[in-house]
Amino acid sequence: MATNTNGKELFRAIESDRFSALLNVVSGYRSFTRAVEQQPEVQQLRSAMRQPDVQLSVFVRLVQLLTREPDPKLENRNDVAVAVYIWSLTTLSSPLASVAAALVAQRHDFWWARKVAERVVPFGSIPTESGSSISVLGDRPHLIVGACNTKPIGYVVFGGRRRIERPPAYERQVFNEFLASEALSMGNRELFRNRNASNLMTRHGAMEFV
Amino acid sequence: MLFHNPSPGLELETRARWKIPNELRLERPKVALEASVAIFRASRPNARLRSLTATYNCVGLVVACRRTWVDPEHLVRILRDDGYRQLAGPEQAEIGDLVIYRDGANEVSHVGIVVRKKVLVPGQQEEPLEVVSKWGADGEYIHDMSYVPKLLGKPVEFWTDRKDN
Repeated sequence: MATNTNGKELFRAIESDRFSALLNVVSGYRSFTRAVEQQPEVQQLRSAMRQPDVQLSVFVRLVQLLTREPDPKLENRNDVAVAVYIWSLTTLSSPLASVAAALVAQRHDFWWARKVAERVVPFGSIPTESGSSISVLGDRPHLIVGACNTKPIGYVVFGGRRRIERPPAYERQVFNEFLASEALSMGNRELFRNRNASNLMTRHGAMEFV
Repeated sequence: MLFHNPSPGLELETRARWKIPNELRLERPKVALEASVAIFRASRPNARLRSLTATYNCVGLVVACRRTWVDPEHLVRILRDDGYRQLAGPEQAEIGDLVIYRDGANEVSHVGIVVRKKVLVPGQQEEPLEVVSKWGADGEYIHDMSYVPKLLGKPVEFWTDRKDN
């Protein structure tokens, strides 16, 4: 979805200042989630997200938004969009929801997104001494996300414990999309090249748990 | 430091000494706030903008002097603790009293303070009360009591702290 025009337009609409202002008119968490549910853009997004590859595209988009440099004195301009993406992943029971939530739950530059995230992972992600955190999903689709000082350092979609030999096509596509994104850093490339993600995470000071 | 502070609220209590859950919210970017002004200038042109900030909400305006955010789910408890009582209808409300809004799920969604009580002329369909209220993380507006964005619900309850004797 992220690569076709409709998907991009939908992302643009949900990430617009107009959409943010409309939803920011509410005061309470329950009012917010009800308002999210009513928005045509969100209904359209959720409908598309019934396909797992679209869920991955939304997740990739969310990670891209998280990597943008925030102004520590201001609320994140993408707060509502990130909240919508986490909420959509959660309500569709996507295995990506808890990872997305873990990346946001400790961020104070988010308001609604953090409140949605705190309900998915009540204790947030697990930080390490180095300031990194990592969440690992269940068996399928094998996925690891790491974050260092609130910035995701990369993710793999082909399993943390097995060697990367021949990842399924759609996983490769999604990961290539991520590599091509503005979020890319040397860390991501290094992670991609490394054949054992767990070792790399350890080298970055992250803690692994299952 | 971007990590979430675990105790970001102010020390606030009701008169019955109940600690009011609240949370300080960062300011939103100027462009985002201005976008909200443009939207409501178009959809609610008769609402007068008083102030533009995200740092407090409607309940924070009423119970915490514009200092913090308080979820509307706590409002009725706070008012009862503080000795407020519910009025029979808008005709009994006076300046300084509160208008509570409820949404489609009948949950408290918004609150405003009465700033003007109008003299109604028979046959004219005018709203009896003008209120000041904070529209979420968008602006603080002065408006007729029903003249709010749909998501804020409808004015259904009127409360006062007046001791009439």
